Amino acid sequence: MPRFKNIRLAVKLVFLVLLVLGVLLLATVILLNRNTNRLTEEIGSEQASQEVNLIENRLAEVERQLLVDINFFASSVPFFQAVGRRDAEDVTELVERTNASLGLDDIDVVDGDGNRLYDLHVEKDLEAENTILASGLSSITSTTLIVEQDGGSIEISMVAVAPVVSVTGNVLGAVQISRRLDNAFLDDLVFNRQVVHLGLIYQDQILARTLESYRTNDASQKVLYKGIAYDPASVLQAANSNQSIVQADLIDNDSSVPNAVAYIPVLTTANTSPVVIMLLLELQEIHSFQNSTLLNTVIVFAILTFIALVVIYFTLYQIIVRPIGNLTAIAQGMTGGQYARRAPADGQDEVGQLAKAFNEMAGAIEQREISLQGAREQAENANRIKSQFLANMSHELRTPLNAILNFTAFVADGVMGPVNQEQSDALSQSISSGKHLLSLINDILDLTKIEAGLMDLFIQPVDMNEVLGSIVSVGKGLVKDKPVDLIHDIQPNLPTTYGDKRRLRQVFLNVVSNAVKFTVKGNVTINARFEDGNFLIIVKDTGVGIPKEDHNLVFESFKQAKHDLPETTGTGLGMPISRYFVESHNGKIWFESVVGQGTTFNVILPLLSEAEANQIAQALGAKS
Amino acid sequence: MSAKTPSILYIEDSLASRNLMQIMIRDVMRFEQFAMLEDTANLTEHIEALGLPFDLILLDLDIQPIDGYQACQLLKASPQWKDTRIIALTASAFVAEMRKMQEAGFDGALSKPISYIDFPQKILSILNGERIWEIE
Repeated sequence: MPRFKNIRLAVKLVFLVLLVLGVLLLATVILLNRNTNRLTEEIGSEQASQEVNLIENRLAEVERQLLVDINFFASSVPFFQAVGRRDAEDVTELVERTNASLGLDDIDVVDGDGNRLYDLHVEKDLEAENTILASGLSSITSTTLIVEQDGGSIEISMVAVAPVVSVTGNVLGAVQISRRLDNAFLDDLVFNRQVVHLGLIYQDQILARTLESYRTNDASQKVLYKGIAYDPASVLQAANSNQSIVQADLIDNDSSVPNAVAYIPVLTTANTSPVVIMLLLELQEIHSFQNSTLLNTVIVFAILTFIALVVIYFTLYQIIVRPIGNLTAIAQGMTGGQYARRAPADGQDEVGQLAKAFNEMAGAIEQREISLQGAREQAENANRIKSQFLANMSHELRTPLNAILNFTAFVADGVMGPVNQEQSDALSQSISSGKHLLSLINDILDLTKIEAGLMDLFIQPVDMNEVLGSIVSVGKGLVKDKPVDLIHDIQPNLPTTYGDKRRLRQVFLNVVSNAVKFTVKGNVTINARFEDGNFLIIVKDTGVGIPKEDHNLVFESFKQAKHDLPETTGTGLGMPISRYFVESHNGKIWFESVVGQGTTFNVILPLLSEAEANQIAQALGAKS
Repeated sequence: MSAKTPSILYIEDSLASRNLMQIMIRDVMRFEQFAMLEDTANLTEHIEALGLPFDLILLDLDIQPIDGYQACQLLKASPQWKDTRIIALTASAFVAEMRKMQEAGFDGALSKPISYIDFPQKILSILNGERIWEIE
């Protein structure tokens, strides 16, 4: 994974926007979910209350109907006459005719003594029935629930009882009718509505259900529907308080659909019922609505996020990324030497100001570059002019000297006719002065070339024995007229090195001629050997020596150490030029001197290969 | 080259230099077959007109109408003079110019001012086939 600062700016921005929008989306979904949950709860309990009312009304209606039905029996003249007559046959006929339209689950009729005149079917719990019938004989019309238990199966019925009274008010008997609270009864209560489920709970058992698929013989099955079981505490509370309870919290079923739960006690006028109907209201629609709302929100948010991303990306690209890219390209161009390009800077914002500042900087750099270029051209021009001047000087000064020196020499030598001694001496002095002038011109040319950076070397093989040999023979000529001996100890077979032969010769000639020049008597020793890859040339004289205070002047231009020798003339340029050539051959030149005892000049030159020497010459050329 | 007297041509615009060279070669070195030209106009025709099979041409670099480099190239390109030794006479002080001379086809260079003492020896050496590149 690349480090964050290495990621492209646009990607970073997109990432940031995504992060922010993601957090916003999450917050929105959480809030929305909470609010819709609350809404669902409110709507759920509202609807559940309505359902409870409906069920309560239906129960009341059933109870009322029972009373209506029983009054219908009790107040029928043929019926109470038949009961009064204790005519079971008539009673049976009347009851069965009437019940064909009423469809009651049970009907019992007794005479004034409590003897059965009619029984629709033999009761499981005759005792309870007889108790109720007895209350009917006591002129009490009432409804109640009876629980009949037969082995494992329990049946609960809503029962109405009434006295059968003659027109004169005599109690002739009693009649009891009942409606069983079974699965069919519950089905009737919900009118086939798919989202409402009921269960009849008695003594920790669900005795009847609206849901066919859950109907079982297993009475311990506490789950009414999709994992939702009844809450015994709430059942008890509803039974004891005789009040319907709508639970405040929704319960999610196995399919994550929230359900409102209510417990409705089955009331009768007789007593507090231990029977409770549990009501489940599946809030499928609200749940779907909630889910689709969430989904829609997420989709809308995602679309908006995408649009926002695109807009933000292109906006940021337009206002930040592209201008920065432009600046980068222009800066790179400037590195490559293109100074004229400018960034578009049409905004007043930070990026626009950056571009403006950048352009100003580019302008300043361009201006500087132009003036630098001008200065460089001027300098190059000046160098070219200097170089041309040097070439001209060289030519213009030396061409006349060519004629002067040689014509004088011809005359002095008698080539042009006989000359006497006096004339010959005068001409010799003229030649000597001319030669001095020539060497002065040469030295000044050399030094000027060095200082102008125009000095160049002509690299060729250098036979050190040959070079030093020629120096020795020149030296011998120089000491010819002086009481000075030239001693030489030059190692034979010195290796051939590479360098500018003429310049090296010039160095040695300068050192030796200086030694001879400043030595009145004694000797000049030339010692040369090759050691550890270096040529070591030592020129030692017994001359006047150089005073300590003048040591640092020796290699400076136009400086000649003070001395008392009248006839030594020199330009004072030889040593600086020599040092330049030694050093340009990667060598070193230095001296030791004691006034009155003499001077020793040491030159160390490394053995150079042709490649090394050419490299040096090229480096030198590159400087100019 | 020893038995036969060598013939030398000097091309130079300066009268003083021409006079000097004439004394040097005719009077000092005693070479009779010596000729001179004062410019490089119609060079090959002029040299042919001199009627000598020159062994050596001494050529000034600073000459008109074509300079010494071009003159040398011209001569080296012609079959008649391509084997003739052509030596530059120059007062130039730059190594770079020596390279230019080598590129132009010169066989050597002698620097001005010439030295009365060793010039004859150098000419003889060159005539004997030695290569001399001198630049002061």
